[in-house]
Amino acid sequence: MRTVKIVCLFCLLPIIGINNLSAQSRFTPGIGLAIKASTNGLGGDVVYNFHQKMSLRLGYEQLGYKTDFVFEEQGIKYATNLAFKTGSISLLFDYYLAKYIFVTAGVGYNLFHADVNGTADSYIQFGDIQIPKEKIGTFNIQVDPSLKVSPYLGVGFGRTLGLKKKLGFAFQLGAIYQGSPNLTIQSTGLLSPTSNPDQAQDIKLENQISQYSVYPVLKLSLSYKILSF
Amino acid sequence: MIAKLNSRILALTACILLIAGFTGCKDMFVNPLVDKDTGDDVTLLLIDRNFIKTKFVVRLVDIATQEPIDQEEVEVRFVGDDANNLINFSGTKGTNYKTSSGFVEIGYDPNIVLSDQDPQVFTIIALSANYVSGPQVVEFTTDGVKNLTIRMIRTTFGKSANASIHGEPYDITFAGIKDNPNLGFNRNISSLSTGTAYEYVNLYMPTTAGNIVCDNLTDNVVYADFGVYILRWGAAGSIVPPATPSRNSNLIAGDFIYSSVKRTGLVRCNSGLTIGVSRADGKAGTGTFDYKITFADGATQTGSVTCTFPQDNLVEPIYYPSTNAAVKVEVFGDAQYNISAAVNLASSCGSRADFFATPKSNLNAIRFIVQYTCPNVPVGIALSIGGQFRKVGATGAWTDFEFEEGICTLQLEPLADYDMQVNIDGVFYFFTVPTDPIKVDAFINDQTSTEYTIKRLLIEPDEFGFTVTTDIEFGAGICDLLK
Repeated sequence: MRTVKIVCLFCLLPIIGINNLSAQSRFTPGIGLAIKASTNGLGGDVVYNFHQKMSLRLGYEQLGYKTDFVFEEQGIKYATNLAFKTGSISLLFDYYLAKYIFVTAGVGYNLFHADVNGTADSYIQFGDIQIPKEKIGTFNIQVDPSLKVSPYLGVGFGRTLGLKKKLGFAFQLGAIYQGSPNLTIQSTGLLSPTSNPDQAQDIKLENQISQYSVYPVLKLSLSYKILSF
Repeated sequence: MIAKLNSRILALTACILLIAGFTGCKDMFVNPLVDKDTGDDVTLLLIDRNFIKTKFVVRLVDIATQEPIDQEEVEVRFVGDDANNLINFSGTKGTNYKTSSGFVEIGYDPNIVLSDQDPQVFTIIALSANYVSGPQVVEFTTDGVKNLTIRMIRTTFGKSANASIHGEPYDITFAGIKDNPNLGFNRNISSLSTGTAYEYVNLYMPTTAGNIVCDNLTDNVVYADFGVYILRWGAAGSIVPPATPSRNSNLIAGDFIYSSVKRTGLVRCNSGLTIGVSRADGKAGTGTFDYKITFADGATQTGSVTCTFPQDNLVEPIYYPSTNAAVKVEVFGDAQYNISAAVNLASSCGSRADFFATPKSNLNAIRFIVQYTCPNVPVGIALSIGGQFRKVGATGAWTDFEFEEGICTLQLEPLADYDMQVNIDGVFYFFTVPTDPIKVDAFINDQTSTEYTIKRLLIEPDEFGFTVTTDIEFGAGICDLLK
């Protein structure tokens, strides 16, 4: 709730009259490069500031993370690897409501992909006998956005390209709408029913994660103007 | 002025969208591992609990009536070194099993590598207060479901006590007396199989102790060997197949004596005979079908095969007359399917006989997808278990089928109710399933079983005909068995 209030406050600021961008000196369009760090990855933008209130950004960002862990289910240990990748190739439009406040809208080719691989790492004690881990099998669960081309909407503070100075700094808060995640499951051995289409386990799990249709983005960017017209 | 207005509209729009976005985000904090519909822990991985790839479905029937022996407890023993690899549904090793359902299902240790170079062999013997079976050898080199129908004989004496008139081609002398009436004749058991090249002739039950001698074979051209097998329950002294029958042994009262012969010219075929059963239209289905192999000399070998189409079943080993290896193979339909005509083969050894199953008219294909769970366990179970069904109100034989990874397709009448029973660890669990979608709600609400709860049941038309999707939560008793 507190977050919502803060967002509202920032949104209402230009409406109550602090928008006095008009008094500035003559605007010079420019092109610059930016580096950025966000919850959607590290990357860079080419920024074209073609109007005092508007700029276009073509950017790329990516973040990858891999980790190994062991999880246990019904007495069976699984050696599991999570490979997580997010990012996008995006084209964004910034509109400045005030000198250092802007809204951004655009689309990006969504690079989000999560890959979970698991291999049974312990046997099953089945009465007097042991079922070896090789027979238990493996599973692979892949998560992808249902919208590969995903819209983005956000607000920002600062300048994505310096207005007068060579350097610019911006903080942005936004969200990528990527649709309900799609699951692809493969499994072998005794875990085979997990990927059996008739059992529809992928659909059941997709329903469980359907709420994750929005990917939140917090972004910091630092830009340098390389050309002024 | 216009620019300022546009700015405010844009700002308001952005504000509304962001608030909407963040409001929508609240669901992101819902635990995805808790089922949205039921509130139960969500099932992540489905495990096929079918650890056992080689199963023996043993049905105990009365040799005279063919009815299941389900009115008394029967002890089923498995004898031989390889019998030590037998396990029950819970994975516990054992060679003795008791049942009052006329049905025992056991498995073979999946860690034993089966190979045609190393056949696994054991002998099945069953005994109850009123019945005894003929010891039957089981030999196999491949995995799969092995159907074994053990025909049991009532242990009441027949009218005649004269052994010589009962057809052995040799003399039987007991306690020094040929055709001794104290060697009580029970009945002709030539329809029973020893599972070897030997054939049973008659069953006797001595009423006193004494020595039995078999001699004076009347036809050594037709017969290569002869003698008696001895079953002595609860004590050493048994001589059962695959051992060679005895021609001279000491008996005690209470022994079971099986006279037997071995014909000459029989050739053992290790590679067996494959019976393939499939649907002509390539669709799914499951059933258990009796087969009969008739050899050139008139001898027969019978049994049954459980199929999830398409399926090959190896009948092994085969003993065929060396003079003529040709055989006729017949497979008989059940309540679901008609089976194509008999197949004649030039040789029974290493050959295959293919049959096609055609659904009987007025039946609908209904695919069952059953997922089992246990309370508070986030793992689903897709069982590969056998079962039987019969239309509610019917009194005829049950029709056998098999779930494979929790799925099977049956041919059932539309808008009908069916009694079903699945067998878990030798015990049948009974329930009734409607094929009428209208009855589903009542079916869900009227559950009374303490052994399971049907959490979900959907009947939907699809390309298979109808698909019934069922989530069943077992009670603690069954879940303990599955652990």
